[in-house]
Amino acid sequence: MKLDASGLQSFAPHRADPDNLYPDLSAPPSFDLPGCPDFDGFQKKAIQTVKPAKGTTTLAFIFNEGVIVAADSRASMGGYISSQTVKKIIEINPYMIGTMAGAAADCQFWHRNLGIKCRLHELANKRRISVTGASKLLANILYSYRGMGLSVGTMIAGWDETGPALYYVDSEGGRLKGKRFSVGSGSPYAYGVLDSGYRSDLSIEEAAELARRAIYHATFRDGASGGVASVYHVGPNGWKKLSGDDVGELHYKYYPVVPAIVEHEMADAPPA
Amino acid sequence: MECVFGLVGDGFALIAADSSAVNSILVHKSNEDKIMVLDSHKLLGASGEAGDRAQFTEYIQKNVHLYQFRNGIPLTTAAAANFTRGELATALRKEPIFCEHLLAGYDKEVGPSLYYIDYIATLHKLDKGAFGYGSYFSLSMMDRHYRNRMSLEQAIDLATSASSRSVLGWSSLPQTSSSRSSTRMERGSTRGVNPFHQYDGYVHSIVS
Amino acid sequence: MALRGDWVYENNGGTCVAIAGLDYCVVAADTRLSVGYSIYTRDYSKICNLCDLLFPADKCVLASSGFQGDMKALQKNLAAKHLVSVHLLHIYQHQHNKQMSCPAMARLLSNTLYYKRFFPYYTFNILGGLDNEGKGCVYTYDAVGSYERVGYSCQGTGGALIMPVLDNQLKSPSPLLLPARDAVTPLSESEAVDLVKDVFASATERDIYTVRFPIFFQLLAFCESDIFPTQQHAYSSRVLNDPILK
Repeated sequence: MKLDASGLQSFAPHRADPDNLYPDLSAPPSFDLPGCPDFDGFQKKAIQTVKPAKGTTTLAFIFNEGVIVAADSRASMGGYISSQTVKKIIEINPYMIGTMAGAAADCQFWHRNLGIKCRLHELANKRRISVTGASKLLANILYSYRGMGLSVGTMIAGWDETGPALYYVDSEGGRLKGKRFSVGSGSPYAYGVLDSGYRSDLSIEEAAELARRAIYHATFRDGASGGVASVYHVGPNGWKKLSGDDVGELHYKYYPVVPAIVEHEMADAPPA
Repeated sequence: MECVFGLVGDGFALIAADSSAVNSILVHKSNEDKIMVLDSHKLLGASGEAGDRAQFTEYIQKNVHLYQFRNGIPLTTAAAANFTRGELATALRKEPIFCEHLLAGYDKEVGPSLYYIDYIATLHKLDKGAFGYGSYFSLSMMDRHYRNRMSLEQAIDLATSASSRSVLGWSSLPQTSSSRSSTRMERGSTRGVNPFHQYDGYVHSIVS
Repeated sequence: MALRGDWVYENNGGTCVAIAGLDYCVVAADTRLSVGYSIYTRDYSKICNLCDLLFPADKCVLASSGFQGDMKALQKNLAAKHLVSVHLLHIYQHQHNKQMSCPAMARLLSNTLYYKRFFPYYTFNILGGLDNEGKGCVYTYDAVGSYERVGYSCQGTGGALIMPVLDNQLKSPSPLLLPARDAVTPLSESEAVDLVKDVFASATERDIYTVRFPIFFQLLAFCESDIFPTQQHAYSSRVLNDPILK
């Protein structure tokens, strides 16, 4: 099997060395593959063994004032919470952000790769890449690795020459343009809140609050989501982080503890 | 649920597809157009794995364009169908593309035609065809109501009613839309109404 | 790469801990190597000073646990592939006229791990060191290269035992909070060392793969101009062989 490593093309100057004693040191990067006959079986077992970090709730939606993107911050390896401070909203450039759901390493690496490609596009063409183009770059790379077990569910949100744009891209090669998406293990819960509260004429504050609430309710019902609910807004002047709230504190903000009403005061029995 | 079907009528061929993008239990999108416009007289409806569908139909579209650019004449519908089949057959022995296709087209010489091509590279010329979950309903319905040389209105009515049953059984969101014209295609909407939904979805059709 | 049989991984156990402070970083790892209930050795260092093979790096050290074969392979890969050219000089140092900083090394390690995405290094790594401003930094990884900068971390078979203790003692407000809240690990260096000794002692009580006496690396920020590899003295990594513990 020939692996497509074109996504990894390094643009650093190639150091040709006439008497290169270590030929593989200067070779372009590529993925090492196991030499066993059963690749799928190996992948499955390897993933079970190393338990890469995953688990998420992310959401994004377009409304009149731009795009709102929000995410939780928990990563879990099986039942173990490996981090509560994951930055799942990845800043690709000042006008475009991506979200990560699925395997943390896959998302981090390919978003980094996408960031490089977007910057190179900008340098080559003297204009920023469109969100459509960026999402297609990512989708094409992921599609070229299909069937190899990558696990990525991402949204690319941004503002380009055509205005606000939002794409959902996953490792099965799916790429959907849309107004409202949620991805990750907590996404059904987030969709429930998001769909019921969404209008296109929300103000930025209302939209941010809707996103925050959707993430909070997802973390409340989904054990693989938690930590901090971060909310970003992308407008014509680029993205801006609006808030980051500990979902534990949000819970007490939304549902303050009220003293329980004591129905019957127990009185001590009078001494006989 | 996923459903694509098509039929050949009097001087036109028509393809209808649902428009929901589903990921396990979630409907991510309900206005996804699964019918690729290959050129002015060819349509490729596909259903299957989301990534494969989008990538493969676009690949076919670009190659059909490329042929026209290079040679100045478009591929015939039969040629496009055979090209599509060939690509699927090649892929089958490497990394299969898990999609089923209906290719509808109109040629000056042969008139309208409809081809069925599945992921194991079966190619079959049909008057009416369907796949996906919706095919269980629409196939028998089309067997019952299809007639040779149907008019476009009748065909759209049939397409609409064929998709309505699958709404009840499988999904609340299949939609159909239509396009029609004499030599070019445009996209409009059908009027089908069922107890639950007003359709304004995608039925593409090609009319001579 | 040829494989005999279809499975090549083994977990040799072990635990690594790292704590970053304002001007220091402590990295510690135990020294036991075992398979199942058998102990191979009680005296194997899981910590690698990344350029030790040729020159010392003043900036960072790598602590790994998991499969010893992959640990060794990863360390050699990092040391050889990325730092050494055919003339046995640092490529990076050649190109940039400085030694690789800890954040740069962290990114390099992430990529190195990810290039083995389909045939992973079965290693769980922590990279500790000092950043460009001389502040302590700790980077924690999963086996296929996702990484994050944190104030402290713990990996390996004792990880799940030790992490809650470190959280309890050191947890600071999340860096994702907005408005931001001040997040400083509140310990002095000696307190951090004591804490690490304590958590290892505790983990040993419940984890058969962890030994009580870890190897320490302490990186202190007090030296500038560590570009030249000969200035080895500028670097205060020391192996603590506490006579009482030993």
